[in-house]
Amino acid sequence: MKSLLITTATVALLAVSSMSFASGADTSAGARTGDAVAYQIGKRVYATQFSCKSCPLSGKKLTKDSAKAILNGEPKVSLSDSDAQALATFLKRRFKL
Amino acid sequence: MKSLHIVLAGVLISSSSFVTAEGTSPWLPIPGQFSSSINYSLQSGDSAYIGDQELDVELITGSGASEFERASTTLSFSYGINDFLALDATIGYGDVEVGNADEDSGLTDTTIGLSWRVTDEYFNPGFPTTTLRLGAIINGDYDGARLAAVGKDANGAEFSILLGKSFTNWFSVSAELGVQERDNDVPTATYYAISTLFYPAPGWSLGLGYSDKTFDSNLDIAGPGFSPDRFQEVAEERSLVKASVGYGFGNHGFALLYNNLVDGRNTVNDDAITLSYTLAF
Repeated sequence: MKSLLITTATVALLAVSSMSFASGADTSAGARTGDAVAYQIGKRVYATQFSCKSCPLSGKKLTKDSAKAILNGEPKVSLSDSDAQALATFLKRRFKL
Repeated sequence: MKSLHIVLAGVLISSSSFVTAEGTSPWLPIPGQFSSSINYSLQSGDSAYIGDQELDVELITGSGASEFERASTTLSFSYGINDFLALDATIGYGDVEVGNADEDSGLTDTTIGLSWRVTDEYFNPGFPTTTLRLGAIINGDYDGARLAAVGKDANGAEFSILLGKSFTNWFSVSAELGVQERDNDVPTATYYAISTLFYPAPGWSLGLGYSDKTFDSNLDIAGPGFSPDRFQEVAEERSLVKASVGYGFGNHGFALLYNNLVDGRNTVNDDAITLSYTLAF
């Protein structure tokens, strides 16, 4: 009986030892690149500074031409340097400009 | 007797896949961009949950082992097909040691997934970014019926819904709810995760998160109805807290991640640290 208990406990340990690695929820996404972060922030800058209801491009669809125009400063919107850089990353990568 | 234990364990152990794509972001890769990441992870624990009772590994084994250790290296890839579709894949190599009892290594399970962003928070006001992901789990190349099993030795599929919202340029929240189905009598697994991400300075990110995963079963190791041939059917539960720090510039990204198990059932009480580097093209 004692032997059976030891065996069961040992097998149990071995089982959980391997199962400990089972949970996919242990894993995490890989590191994000600087451009990936900037792309996301730039997208938000566009949405909050250019296409919101009170924004200059409200109701207009973002296209390659409108992206080029924004990169050329039209319409003029005051942005911080970091926001402007993020916006440029978004527009250039989104439309391969 | 020890050899008998090992033989029994080798025959009876059900092992689990540890490579899945959970942790995938609701925000898809940049369209047209191919990213590759290499991740090195070390995981260890010196106590385990038998059912919901926590016991020292040394006590359970009669000093046969004081802890388990696992090292894994994974390669993950992603590709932004367009603004709303993306592919991902992960493959890896794992090495497991259980005291002096056994060790093994091998190619871990591979996952391949397709993500579809259904709503974009920036162009669908009032909605979070919502992404659906469907993935395949492909059995790796290892011996699942042994003491130091590398994986669960089963094929399967997974489906998840991911939600994300950026409240400011420096703070975002995301969540994932998913389900996995595997063959070889592995119970259905459901999981959820909640993550927050801060950007305290240009290039830098800090993450905090919590995740929970449950294999849907009423069977405990060494509990009523348990028999050695039913290891793959046990109710495994893992609740984790996660923290990360990352730095990225241009097409490069670095991250250090830490996971700690805060509650569990039929699993090892462990923690893990992971180093990750990403290069995008």
